[in-house]
Amino acid sequence: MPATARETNLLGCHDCGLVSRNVDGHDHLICPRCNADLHMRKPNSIHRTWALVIAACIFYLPANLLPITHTTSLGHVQSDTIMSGVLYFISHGDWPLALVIFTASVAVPLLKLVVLIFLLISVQRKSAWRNRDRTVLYRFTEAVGRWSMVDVFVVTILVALVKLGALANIDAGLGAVYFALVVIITIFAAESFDPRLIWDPEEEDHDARH
Amino acid sequence: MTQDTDTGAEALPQAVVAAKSRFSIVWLVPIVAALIGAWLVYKAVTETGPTITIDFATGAGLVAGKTKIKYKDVEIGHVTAVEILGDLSGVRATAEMAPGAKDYLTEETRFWVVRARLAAGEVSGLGTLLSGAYLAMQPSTEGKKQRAFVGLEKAPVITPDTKGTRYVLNAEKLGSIDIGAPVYFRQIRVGRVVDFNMEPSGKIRAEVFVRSPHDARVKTTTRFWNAGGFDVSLNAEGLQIDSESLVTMLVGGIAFDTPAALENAAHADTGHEFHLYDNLRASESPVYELKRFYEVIFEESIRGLSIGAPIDMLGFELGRVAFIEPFGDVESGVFAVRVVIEVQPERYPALMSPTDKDAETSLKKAVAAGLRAKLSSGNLITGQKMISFDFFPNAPAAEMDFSGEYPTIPALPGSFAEVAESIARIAQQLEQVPLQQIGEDLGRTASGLADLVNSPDLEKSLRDLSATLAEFSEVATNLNANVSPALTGVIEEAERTLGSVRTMVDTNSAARNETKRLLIELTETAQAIRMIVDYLERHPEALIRGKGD
Repeated sequence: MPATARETNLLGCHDCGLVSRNVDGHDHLICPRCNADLHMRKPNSIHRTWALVIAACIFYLPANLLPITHTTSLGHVQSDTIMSGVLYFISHGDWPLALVIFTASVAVPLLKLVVLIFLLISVQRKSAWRNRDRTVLYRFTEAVGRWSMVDVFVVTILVALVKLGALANIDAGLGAVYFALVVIITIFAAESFDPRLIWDPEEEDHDARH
Repeated sequence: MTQDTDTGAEALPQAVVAAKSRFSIVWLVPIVAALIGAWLVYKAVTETGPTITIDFATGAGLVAGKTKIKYKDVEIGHVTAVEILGDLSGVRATAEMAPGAKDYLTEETRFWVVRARLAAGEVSGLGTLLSGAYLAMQPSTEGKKQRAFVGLEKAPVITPDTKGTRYVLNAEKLGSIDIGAPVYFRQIRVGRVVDFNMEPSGKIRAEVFVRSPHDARVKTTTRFWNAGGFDVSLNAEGLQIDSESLVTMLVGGIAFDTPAALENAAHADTGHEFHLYDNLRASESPVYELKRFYEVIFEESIRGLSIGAPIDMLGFELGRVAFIEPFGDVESGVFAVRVVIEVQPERYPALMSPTDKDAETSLKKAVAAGLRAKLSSGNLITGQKMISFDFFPNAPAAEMDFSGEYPTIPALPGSFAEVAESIARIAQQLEQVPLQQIGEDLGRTASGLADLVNSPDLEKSLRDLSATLAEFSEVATNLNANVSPALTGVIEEAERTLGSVRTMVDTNSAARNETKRLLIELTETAQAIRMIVDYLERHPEALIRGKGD
């Protein structure tokens, strides 16, 4: 059985890679070579992630309920939420485009939140259930999260490009702001989660068996 | 550390390990998020206004999610759904209103569809061409609150919050007035025609709205007239064309003014009724509101008399013919024409008292004095007849008959009238003949003649005449004997003279040639004079300046 860093009471520096011995009873340690913060696990990882996930969940509602664009064309204003945009493309037969928007803007943020909540609960319950799969889930969450920003960029570009006065005009709605907040907060939430926590229960089992 | 309690330090209190604060600053993020979320929910709840339904006959221009509801051009709601009513009688629009509209949704609140409109000389709602129709709302705080409405099919012309006064105009015909047509006061637009409809009696009743402060100009004596089109009149001053404005020429309109003499009348209240005159001139003529109907029976042909023909007395119009119908049959042996006339007593108050009480007594008195109706020629060229009233003191006695539908004024047959007239004429001329003088003159002549015949001078004269004639006969005989030879000499002399004259006027004689030349010269001179006159006519200034080149 290979030893983990924690088992050997050693700390690895994230910045310079130097391995140093842990000093028990002290929280705040720094790397003797590069002065970077050293820690066995990300501090307060679970609390921080929970906080961000809850914030993201709250923002997810207005992001989907409020209009993200106000389209003015020939004196007539139309407000679109994310879902109404998806439905608009579906009704016009643009299935691929509708799928892209739905995936990037509705499915992915929701999936991320669900995955993070699942990981947090499983870690808090010290579950040892399919650690490897849960780690894959976490990596996927971290990798795919930033792509949700596509929608925000599309809105930004449209607002900047379509400025034809009364003929056609697009303004960003409040929904876009909340949507951007959801995406950014979930990125931070994924960042603050320490995947090593997934494996800790296995170690403790291991210790207990000794 | 704490296990070792045997030393003297056991009396010392034990340091407490402070529980590390579990609160991380990161929890601020969800708290802020929760606050924002709560605020959004609060806003959504408070800003959601009431949902109402409005029923229309058709859904023209109504689009779910797009059609706005506006008041004074400010959006206060929008249509969220349009659906057909269950009984297919119309459509029902469901609309979400702004929360502030809650207090203005009562049973008095009105909704109507605003579309682009080109009417009454103005274009309105042009914006709806691009943005589509919208619903206009007329809010009201009066009455019970309600959520289900029935929309108006046509937009009200004047919104109730416009200050002004409504008046009623009674007219015989509508003319070129339409709802929304302008109302002018001295060619300034001060109001509009709000509505018109037909009374059961067939009269037109139009409602106009005059904006404040111009409604203060409307007095009880004010006259309204139809200002539509233009008015062409030809009178002693020449051709006159009047029009209120270009707009009224095209779409019609109403104008009003108060005659200067009647300016001091009371201000007209809402709903005051006025008569709508056909044109300005008609409004300027005196108004005779009072009308009375009478009958005249003619037992002769009324050819040329038509409805509307004037009733005339002394060349002064009293009214018009209202109705003509024949009556009678073989059994009664009477064939006549009943003519109903409409008379305005105010035109001749002395003859027909305008007050109802004395209405018939004064006329009865006039009939007793010889007032009769008769047919007379109105227009010699077209043969139009009219009814004229006149006094015929010698006419057969007659009385007014009150048994019919209307009181009957006795008529004088046209033939009798003519006879009576010609007799009167002859009598008049006869009166002018100086019969007495003629008689006197005749008498004198006759007596002179008698004197002459009986006088002794006459006998003597006759005897002288006979002697004279004998002498004359003698003279004639002498003349025959003495004068004849002398006369022969005279004739010969004359023949000679004529012969010499002939030689003078012969073709080649000098005198003739001279005369001919003289005539030619005279002709040339005349030509020259004519040229000068012509030239002078064209250039009169040549008299002063001389002949120019």
